[in-house]
Amino acid sequence: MNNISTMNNDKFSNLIHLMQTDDSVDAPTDAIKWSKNLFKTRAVEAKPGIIETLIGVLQSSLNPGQAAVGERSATAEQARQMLFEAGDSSIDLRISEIGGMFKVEGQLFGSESENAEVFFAGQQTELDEFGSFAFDSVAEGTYEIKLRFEDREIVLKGIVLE
Amino acid sequence: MESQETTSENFKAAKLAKDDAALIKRCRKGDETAWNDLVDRYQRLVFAIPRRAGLSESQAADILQEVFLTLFEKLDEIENPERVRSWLVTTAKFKTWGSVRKDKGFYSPETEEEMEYEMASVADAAPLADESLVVLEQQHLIRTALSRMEERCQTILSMIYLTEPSRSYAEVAEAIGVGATSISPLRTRCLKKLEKILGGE
Repeated sequence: MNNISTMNNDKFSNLIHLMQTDDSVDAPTDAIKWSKNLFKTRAVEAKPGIIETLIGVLQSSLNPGQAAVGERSATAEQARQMLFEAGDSSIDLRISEIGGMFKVEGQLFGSESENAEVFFAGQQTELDEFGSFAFDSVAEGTYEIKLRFEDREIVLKGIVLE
Repeated sequence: MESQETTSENFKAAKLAKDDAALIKRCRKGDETAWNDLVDRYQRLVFAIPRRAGLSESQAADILQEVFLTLFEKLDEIENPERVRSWLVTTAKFKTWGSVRKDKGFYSPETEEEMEYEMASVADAAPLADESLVVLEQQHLIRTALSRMEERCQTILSMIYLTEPSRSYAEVAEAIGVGATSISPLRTRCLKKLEKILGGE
């Protein structure tokens, strides 16, 4: 090592010796990548805390017996219709009673081509290609509906089934 | 999160310990970049411990993943984030020793205390002796400190000390665009800077 041997006698000899005897190597790339990816699970867990939450505001409510816009009177007699607005989106909600239990159907407008999970009364589903969702056999009670998108969630509070 | 200290006696490296603590705190706040930096910073040291004990590359990679998984799970429990280096070394040693014993069909202690007792009672623990680990830690600190230096110092010290064969002063001078007579004082200055980063300030 040409002129290095004499340098090793100086005050930095220990430092230099350690540098020159360091034969460690990098770990395999896939093991490093796996270790780094661990953190993504933590990032996903943290997500609900940082996304924007919009509270749906009830715009109109049509009770059974009142015909909804464009609706035939036969179904209007049994279905209750509610219209909520949240930001740029609106949600049309229909509640019907079948044998003492309730069916809740909804459709999202104004957020086309978006995927969302829908949570209601301990059940979970997803929006279909038309932005619609439905829950069957829900017992009487007061609930909230949550639509969770990638970057925000919409919450409809005070959904009374009676 | 208990761990036996295996810190370097030669380098206090207080600045680097503060860097570690800052990374841990950022990880706790959900900063993925900080976690990636932490893995990058320590992967070589953690991987070197099972390799030094004679485990295969594949076994050492498994140990590395187990160590980082444990760190990830305990991120919020670390009481002294500035001591994460010691924690990583101890955890890697613990898991390496368990793997070695398992390979030999020996009973594998379940607690760290039990493992330490078993290790102390074995006649030849040379591959994982504290002195060996201290050297690995010191070399890790030097690598980390070197990576914090300005590019010119990194080039000078790497070309003189880390390449095989070592480059001459003339070659180093040409690489950084100075006269050959400047290399000796520059080398000394860079070593002093390196020593300062490794110090206890």
